[in-house]
Amino acid sequence: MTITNSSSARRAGFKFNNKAFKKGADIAASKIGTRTLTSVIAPNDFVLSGAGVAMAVDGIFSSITLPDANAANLYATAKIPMEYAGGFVTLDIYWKTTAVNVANNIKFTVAMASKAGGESTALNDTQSVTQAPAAVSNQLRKASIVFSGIVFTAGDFVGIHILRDPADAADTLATDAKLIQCVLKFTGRA
Amino acid sequence: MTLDIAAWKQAGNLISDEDVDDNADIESSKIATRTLQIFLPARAGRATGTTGATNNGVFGGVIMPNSASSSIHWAMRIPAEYDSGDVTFKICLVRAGAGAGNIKFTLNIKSASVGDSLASGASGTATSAAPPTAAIKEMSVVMTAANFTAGEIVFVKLFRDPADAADTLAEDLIALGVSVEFTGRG
Repeated sequence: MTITNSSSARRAGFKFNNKAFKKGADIAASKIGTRTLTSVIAPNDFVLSGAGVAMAVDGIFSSITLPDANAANLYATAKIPMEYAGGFVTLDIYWKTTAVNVANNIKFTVAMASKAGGESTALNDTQSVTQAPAAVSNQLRKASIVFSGIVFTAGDFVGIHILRDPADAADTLATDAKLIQCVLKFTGRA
Repeated sequence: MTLDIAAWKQAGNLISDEDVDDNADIESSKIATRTLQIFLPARAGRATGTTGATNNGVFGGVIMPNSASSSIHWAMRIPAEYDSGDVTFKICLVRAGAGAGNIKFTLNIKSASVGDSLASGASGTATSAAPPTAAIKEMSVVMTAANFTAGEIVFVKLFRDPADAADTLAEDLIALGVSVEFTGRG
């Protein structure tokens, strides 16, 4: 009778060694898969500037009136959350009109800065987006801007300046608009 | 007769079928802790004695003047992700001026559940030299862990009194907000 070790017989799958495996260890946040996370900027988070630029109430929503008569400047300070895992940051602007059957486009120009404590508040980048309103009045629209030219770091202060200038040739929307909310969207681990 | 034996040993701890459930969720208690934060924008707070909201080019904030005392109030919740430990309140500000001097803030907090009295809470101060013009400054006040429980409402008051002998900066300040940092899982 012959008994031989068959070294060619292998078990498929992963082999654990003592260094790699520790039963009961916490899972590091860096091992959590990434996904899209959001940080909300509400209307009352904004500093308002411009004639007729004011907080308003729309049913159960609060909003900011962006008049067609003159420029509206909105300023906010937010933070890049600790869950941020790198990459571009998108600003979504939720807005609407109350007028019916409005044609043409609104233009939002957004200046943004992302700064650590101790840094100056100088501007990093400016982007713009144009969008037509919904076909139905009071229907929510979302205009998005991707900030690919700014280096963001978890914990940074983010300055956001939103301008609606009806005198801009690209802003052909001949009615007031209402800003409902802004959202910073980013890739994070949580 | 030949008997082949697959004598291949797996180093480390063996995992048995009983240990592993492929479909089980990962308990939040097994996620390692890290520093998390909640930001309270100055503009979102209830201000008294302040002299208006303003911007610093891109950043929006609230003016805490040199002419009189002022305060900003917020209410927030200690989130479920809070694990333990002290909570650091980082006061964030900028200024438009360039003079020398120190800034002093007082921070009051009260963390409460339903049925708790709101009569007393904890307070702390932060005093530091003014930052360069248009540079973001952070000043920290640490509140001990005994003040906090996940799920409680926390009332936060930021106060500046230019008449305080320790506040020697003869300028308005622009408060951007308070960053609440804590150790959490999630």
